[in-house]
Formats: sequence, structure tokens, C-alpha cells
Amino acid sequence: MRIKNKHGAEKIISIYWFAILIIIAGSVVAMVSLFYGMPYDVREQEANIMINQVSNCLSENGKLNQKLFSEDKTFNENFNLKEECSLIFETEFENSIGEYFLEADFYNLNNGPKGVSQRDDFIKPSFGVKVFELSEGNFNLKTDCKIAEGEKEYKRLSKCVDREFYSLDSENQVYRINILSAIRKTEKNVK
Amino acid sequence: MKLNKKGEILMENVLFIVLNIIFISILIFFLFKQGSGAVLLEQTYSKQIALMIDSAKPAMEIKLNLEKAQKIAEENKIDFKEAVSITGNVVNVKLSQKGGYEYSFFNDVEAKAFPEKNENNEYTGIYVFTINKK
Repeated sequence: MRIKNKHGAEKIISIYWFAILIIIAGSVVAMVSLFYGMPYDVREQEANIMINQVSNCLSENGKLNQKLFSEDKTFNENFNLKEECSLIFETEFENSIGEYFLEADFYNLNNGPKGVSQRDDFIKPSFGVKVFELSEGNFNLKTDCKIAEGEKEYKRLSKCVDREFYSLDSENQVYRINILSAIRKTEKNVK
Repeated sequence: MKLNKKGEILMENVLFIVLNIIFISILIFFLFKQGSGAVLLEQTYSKQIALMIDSAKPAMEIKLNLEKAQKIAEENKIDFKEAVSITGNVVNVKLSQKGGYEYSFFNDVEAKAFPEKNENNEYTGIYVFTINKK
């Protein structure tokens, strides 16, 4: 009698074991499919590469591109960012409304108000006065960047990267150049 | 009677271990198969190539190892020469009959792609990308 009961218990255990195997296999398959089903999000890298390319075209060896200035040494309003920096914003998406946005703001650090610290011998560099700006692409993407600045990360919004560098003009005036790059391409990078 | 019982226990254990090994092997095979699938590689390579072209400068020649892609393309009866194509500013990687993945680049250059061959006119698994000014 005891032996019979033991065999019955083993059978029940083996059924449970089989069920556990199926559950484990099912969850592994689900997790792997979910992981590999997600597209690689390369928009941040793309935005960084774009900023590198634009900064190389706006400034070379620490000096601003001469084409940025007109003959009277003011900023050239006709400077074509896409043409000068070899950019093409058409994408593979049909009826695309624009997947890229690019903005470069120029701040003159010589004219700006300087913040003075408590120590007399130390003068903080100013943030400068915005003297010129260039932009290309879909301007609506800029609002995505403002939203993405919050605490939560919104995956389906455009990816924004904001970087800055310093450069001099021909008269050694110091400029801070802030470049904002926003890339949408949501269909290809986010599920 | 005692001897038979011990033999039964041993057989059960052996069967149990064998079944477990088979189960784990199937899972590992599934994981590897998923990680090296045509769909995943098409996406990975097209994005990698697009980013590579984005960061390239005119007059550059870049060589990219696509041995994994070559193996999968051959398995799916796709000529390696047709695995990567660049039309305008769009990179297309096709490693299976049904598949194909496109990704665009923003660098306004003329990019061309062709597979490298050895002295015996066989594909080496390397793809050459030439970047020129438009």
C-alpha cells in the first residue's frame, strides 16, 4: 500500500515538473523574443555625430568659419547650414514630415554681463549674449526636446542632444556656440 | 527484489538528467538562433553602416567585416554582392529572400559599397565602402 502511494506521488511530481519546464521555457522564449524584437535605438549616437559634423564645419582650429560673416563683419544671414555642412535631411520614410532638427546658437562672451564672485580677483565667464542663430529641419521637434527635459523619459519622442563649444572670430572675439540636434526616426528606433 | 529497485531508481535519474540536458540544449540553441537571425543582423548592419557613413569624410575608404552576414546570406541563397546596397542616402541590407532593412544617413556624400574578393575571385566577407564628395 505504501509502495503504491509512493509511485502515485512520483507521477504527480513528474506532471508538476513537466508543467514547470513548460512555464520556464515559455518565459525564456517570451523574454528573448521581447528583447530581440525591440529595435536598436541609435538616435543619440546619430545626433552626436551630427553635432560633430556641424561643429567641424562652423569652426576649424578654434576659428569660426569665415563664411559665417558677411563683408561688414556681421553674421551672414544667408549662411546655408545644410549646404555648407554637407547635410541631407531626406529619409527613407514616405511622406516624412522631417525627421531632423538642427539649431546652432552663437553667444558673444565679450559683450555679455560678467558674474563677479566674492573673490575680487576671480571673474566668472559670462554666458554671453545671443547674437546669431542658425536652424534647419523640422522645427516641431524642438518642442519634443523641451518635454524630454522633464524627469520622465519619453521614448517615442525625438531624441535630443545639446552640446556647446567655444571659438574665436577673426578679431579674437570669443563666442560660445550651442548646438542642438533632434532626431525623430521613431518608427525605426522605438517599438 | 532490492537489486531491481535500485536499478529502477538509477534509470529514472538518468532519464531525468538526459531530459533536462535536452531541454537546456534546446533553450540555448533557441537563444543563439535568435541572436544571429537574419532580421536582427539586417537591422544591426544597416544602422551600423549608416552611422559609419555619417561620421565618414570624403575620400575615405572603409572596410567592414560582414562574415556573419555572408554566412546567413549564403544560407538564404542571396548573392553576397546584393546583401548591401546604397541608394541615395539610404542603406539597405538584405540577408533573406523576404527581408531587407533600410536606414538613412544625413551626411550628404556619395557612398558606394562593394564586397571584397580574393585572388580566386571568392568573397572574403569584407565589404568596402568608398565615400566621395557629391
